Amino acid sequence: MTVVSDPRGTMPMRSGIGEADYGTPKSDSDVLVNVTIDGQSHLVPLGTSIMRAAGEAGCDIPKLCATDSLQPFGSCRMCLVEIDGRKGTPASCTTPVEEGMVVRTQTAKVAKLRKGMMELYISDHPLDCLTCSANGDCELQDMAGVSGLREVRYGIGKNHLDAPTDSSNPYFSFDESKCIVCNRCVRACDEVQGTLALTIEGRGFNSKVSPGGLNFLSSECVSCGACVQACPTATLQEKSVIDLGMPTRTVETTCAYCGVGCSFNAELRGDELIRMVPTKTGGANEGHSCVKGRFAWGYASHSDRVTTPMMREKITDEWRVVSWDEAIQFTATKFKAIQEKYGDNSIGGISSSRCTNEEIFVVQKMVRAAFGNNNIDTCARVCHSPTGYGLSTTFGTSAGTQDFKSVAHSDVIVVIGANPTDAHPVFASRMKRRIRAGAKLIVIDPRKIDLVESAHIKADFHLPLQPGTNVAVINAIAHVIATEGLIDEEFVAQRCDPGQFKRWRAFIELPENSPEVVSAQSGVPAQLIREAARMYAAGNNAAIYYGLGVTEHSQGSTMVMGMANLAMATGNIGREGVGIIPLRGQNNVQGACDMGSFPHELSGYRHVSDNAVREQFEMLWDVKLLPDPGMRIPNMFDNAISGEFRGVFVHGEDIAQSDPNVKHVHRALESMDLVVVQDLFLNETSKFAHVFLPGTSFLEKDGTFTNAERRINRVRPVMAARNGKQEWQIVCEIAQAMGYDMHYDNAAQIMDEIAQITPTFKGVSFAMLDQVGSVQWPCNDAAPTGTPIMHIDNFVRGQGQFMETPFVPTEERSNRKFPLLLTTGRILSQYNVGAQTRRTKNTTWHTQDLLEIHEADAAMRGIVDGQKIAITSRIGETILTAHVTQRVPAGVVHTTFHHPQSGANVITTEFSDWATNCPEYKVTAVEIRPAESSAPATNTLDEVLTKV
Amino acid sequence: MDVTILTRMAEQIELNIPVHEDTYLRISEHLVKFWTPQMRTDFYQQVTKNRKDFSATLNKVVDELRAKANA
Repeated sequence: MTVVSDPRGTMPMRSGIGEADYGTPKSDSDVLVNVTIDGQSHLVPLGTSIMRAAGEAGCDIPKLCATDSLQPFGSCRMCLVEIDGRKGTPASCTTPVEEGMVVRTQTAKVAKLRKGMMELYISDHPLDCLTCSANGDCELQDMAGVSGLREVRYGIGKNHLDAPTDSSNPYFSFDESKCIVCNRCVRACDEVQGTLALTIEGRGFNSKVSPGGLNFLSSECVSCGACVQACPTATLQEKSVIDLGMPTRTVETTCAYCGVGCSFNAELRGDELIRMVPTKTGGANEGHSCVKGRFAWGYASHSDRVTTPMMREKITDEWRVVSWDEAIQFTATKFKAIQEKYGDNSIGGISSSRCTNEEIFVVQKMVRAAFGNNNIDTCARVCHSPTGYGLSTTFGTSAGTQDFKSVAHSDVIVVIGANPTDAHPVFASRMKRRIRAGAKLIVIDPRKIDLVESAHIKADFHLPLQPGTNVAVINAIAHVIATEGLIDEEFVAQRCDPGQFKRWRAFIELPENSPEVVSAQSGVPAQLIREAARMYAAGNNAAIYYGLGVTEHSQGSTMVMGMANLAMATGNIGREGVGIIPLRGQNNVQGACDMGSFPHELSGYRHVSDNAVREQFEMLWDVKLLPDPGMRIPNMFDNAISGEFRGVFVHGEDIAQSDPNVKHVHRALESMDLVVVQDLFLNETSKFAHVFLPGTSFLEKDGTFTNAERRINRVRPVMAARNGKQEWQIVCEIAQAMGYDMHYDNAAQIMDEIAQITPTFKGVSFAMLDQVGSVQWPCNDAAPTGTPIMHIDNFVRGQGQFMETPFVPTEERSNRKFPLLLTTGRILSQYNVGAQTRRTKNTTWHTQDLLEIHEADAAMRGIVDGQKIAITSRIGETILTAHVTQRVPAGVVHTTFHHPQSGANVITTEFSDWATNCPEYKVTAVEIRPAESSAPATNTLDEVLTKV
Repeated sequence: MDVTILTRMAEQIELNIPVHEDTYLRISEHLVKFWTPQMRTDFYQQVTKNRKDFSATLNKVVDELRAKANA
């Protein structure tokens, strides 16, 4: 539904405009009990609090310390009620309903108590309601009204009215003078985010909320916004609200950062976006957010935005602003001229996972129908293409098996090659909640990521393997399971291909796969592998979550199949709490793959050689399609250098910065006659472009994103497109100018076409999504509103297919010249190549990319923390700043790649996954030395943090 | 496309597909499924010209693909 509502609705606004706050979480019990509240009887689930039961019945009970995203606390004493047959006035938030209970919420006795409590609160609170930034959005103000408080009898005494305001965080302030110490912020940080950065310091009258350090910025706070969301007053308040005032309307949409796909209410005042508030009804995030989605949206209106088309004859010329018509005609004419001269196969397109399903669908359609070839690829090529290969081969479809909620039922959680607290923070909070509640945790990663040990989280096993040895380790785990009698024989017999299983079992039991042999290859002690394997196999529900540390290897696809083997062998597929779940890097990686933007597949993962499928598309699109796969991105680059590939349409991806071995990419781009870039900003790729077509930010788009749990979520236009056109319109106009009639009146029509031609999207439409919120494909006749958990009774392919996974060491190995292995990854506050986050205040936390190096490796090279260092591979050299740490093991270094000047991909190599050509970003042999031309930098990590 | 790149890709595929009597079939299926016709043609030509530089399996892959194409 498009939520457009008045923020000054009947319910407190803090839990999101238009969203009700019932004070305590919902009970999941199926047992109903009868309770009478203020004379009316109601049936409610067992375990429901009186407060929630009353709220759901329309009898709101006053509250301050309660909110339904947090467990009841019972401290504010505003929610007192009377219960027949019980003494006193219990707190309704902490008292669960019982069968036959009779509750009275509005008696004279409780009214007097509430009014007395309010008087005490207000006696130590500034009386500046009319000028307060939370005026109209303050639960304290609301409760003062509800309790009938008209005066405060107490004179001026000891108070906190002069307490200071902490404005250190770039996005919100903490005005201690307005704090009522309700503890909601502290509990939100504990229960929702799981960082435990806040605490109540002092006792009695001196109690106050404290971020632990000097201020919020220097504390452990990760700026997720949960405390701001939970605060019932103006104590924790978005600076945008303080500066611009309260929003007056909302539009529900979906975040455009990582693959979690959080739902947000974009709250506006007129046409100005004031803040983004996570929605509790969002299936992926259920009211939580991270620093990027919650706060880092300012790039959409950054002055660097290009909003008019630009052209130039040569890439050495200056850009010239042109009309849309001129840019589109030039693009179409030039593409056609190239094809006439060099053949139909000489051009192609690259789509982006940052765009909507509808935009991606029309780009691949333009390539197949207007360009007349299958030279369409997507940036998923360089991240999760091995997931597609591996999961399709073993299970039959290219997608994670579970929804995010499933983790709440996991007994053993395995995290491999992923760093969720930085890269998928909202899901990480969900996962940490389960771990704190008792689930076991196994981390397989070269680095000591936060999940290995952080506040109230400690991995049961950390397997710090050498980069490039994933397959060896997963095989060793499977070897233990197979040789120690831990295979779920019944599941395998019922669900899997027996011939393939027999082959796999014979392979995996070979001595070469034993932990003792693998230990020498991977550096992981054999006993650790054995114990981790036993824990995974013996846990009731065991789930594997993985990221690019699995896929971006020369054996990325093999590793995905290795994990799938493990899940099948132990029966950990087809129910809640289990499964294999890829944590997708970008917002719409899943959607980009679903939409047919790989060169060998049409939408819904159907191969172009399938005559029946192709005929359906040909009939619908009225065009002949080719039955053979087109070029992958690396093929395009290689063919550009050899002169056969001459023109490319690059849709929202900065290939000149993000793809490996960028010198090679630059050579390829320089070799082309026409490079067309469609993006928000001039980027590294646009340096090689002849045409720049301005794009739209997620706040301007109309469409859908599909997240890592296959959830199709609506993306609604919050503001008018700054470039004057939707991106799908621009693509359609190019196709039309090339002679192919491609037209839609709106984005909804594109989704209708997707649903018509893609079996797993059957029935999906904007109208349907507006009605139900979101759905997880496959949607079909059996499951019209989606499928949260896949492969329940059968695998999509029928029988599960075990695959042998021989370990083939990468050719990229450390040696005397390049003795260290470089891996790459993300940091919480930044995102991919930084095009968005570098244009927000998130740069407060990450002003530059740092190279993590173990103290022993640093000492050996005379490198100190904060020093500029030169890092060299056989491909190239770049300069970074050293961060000396024990987070990486000796022999391994790690860097982020968020700043173009760092040139992380100047040194990554051309090696790639054998099956998909996904680049091997995670293993590059390097050497490091102090940079000759620069003195040690002053900006160490700690200094950077202290300064800001 | 540079045949040395194609050769390296094919050899990497061969290394990663377990050795069985049907390995050559699985490799040829992979090439049909993921390689462009031009890449396959360039690779056939390279193997045909220099058969002894390629493994027996890759030679069988090319024979299989040629047989399928002629069928």
